[in-house]
Amino acid sequence: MAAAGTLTNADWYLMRSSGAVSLVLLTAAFVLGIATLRRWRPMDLPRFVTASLHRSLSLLAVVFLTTHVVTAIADPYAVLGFTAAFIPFLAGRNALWVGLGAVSLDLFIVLIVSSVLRARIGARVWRAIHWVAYLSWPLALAHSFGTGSDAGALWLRAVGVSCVVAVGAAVVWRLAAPGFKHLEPRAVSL
Amino acid sequence: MRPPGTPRTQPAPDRSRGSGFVRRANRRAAVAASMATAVLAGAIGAGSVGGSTSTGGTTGTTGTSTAATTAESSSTSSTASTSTVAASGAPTTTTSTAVASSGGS
Repeated sequence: MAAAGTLTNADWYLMRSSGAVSLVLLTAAFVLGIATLRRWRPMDLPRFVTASLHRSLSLLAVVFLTTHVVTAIADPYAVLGFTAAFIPFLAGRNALWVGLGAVSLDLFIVLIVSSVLRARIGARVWRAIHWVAYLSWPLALAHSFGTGSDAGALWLRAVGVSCVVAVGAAVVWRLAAPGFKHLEPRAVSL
Repeated sequence: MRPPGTPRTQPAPDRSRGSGFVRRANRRAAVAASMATAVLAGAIGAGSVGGSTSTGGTTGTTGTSTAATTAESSSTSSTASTSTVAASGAPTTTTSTAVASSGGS
């Protein structure tokens, strides 16, 4: 009986776990994006390594975000639906918090698409669009804290707080860069 | 301008070493993320269907399992009622309603 219940709710469990992993991946991609700006490189490796890791982690986040969204749409109890996954504040349950996730998802899609089309839109436009990452990530975090069965769970709070600390430290690191205003991101096309 | 044949003043970055590092890091990140998702899903499931904790063994999973058990206590009762209903031969729709009361997403 218990096994049957587990299988019945497998989609639900996968949605929750993939959401948490997506947040961690987005955080790692965010931090590596800032590290790219700071020209940081691990273990004296060439500088392209940081940008490559930033790019590949972003793409990995796409995979897990897709899993999260697809399982959320497929889960009949989430009362989400395809439209509400992308258009904010239409969800049947937790409309506000799910809506913040939808906004974050839309912004992330914009980031990915603009990076894919970077050669066409030009570095200046791509760079301007890339600033929405600073809006997308906090919205994803708010979505994680505010919605779902794990919203009040200690483990998710621990994950969220760790992500906040990591991003906060990275942002401070960036702001503390000598000649901060002159740092321009290198081309990181996807 | 460097004359032809003159060695570089600085060695060129070792691109192959960097590429290998990126490849390995990508592979490890993908494996780690997949395993984390599976273990976490299993821990959540184990917590919600009977209070047993995960045996995944990765660092941090213990806390996850405990939290999931607490968070999903209402789901446990719903799942139990699902089993009872199923045993009595009630329609599946009744089962769905019972699970929905557990909290959805």
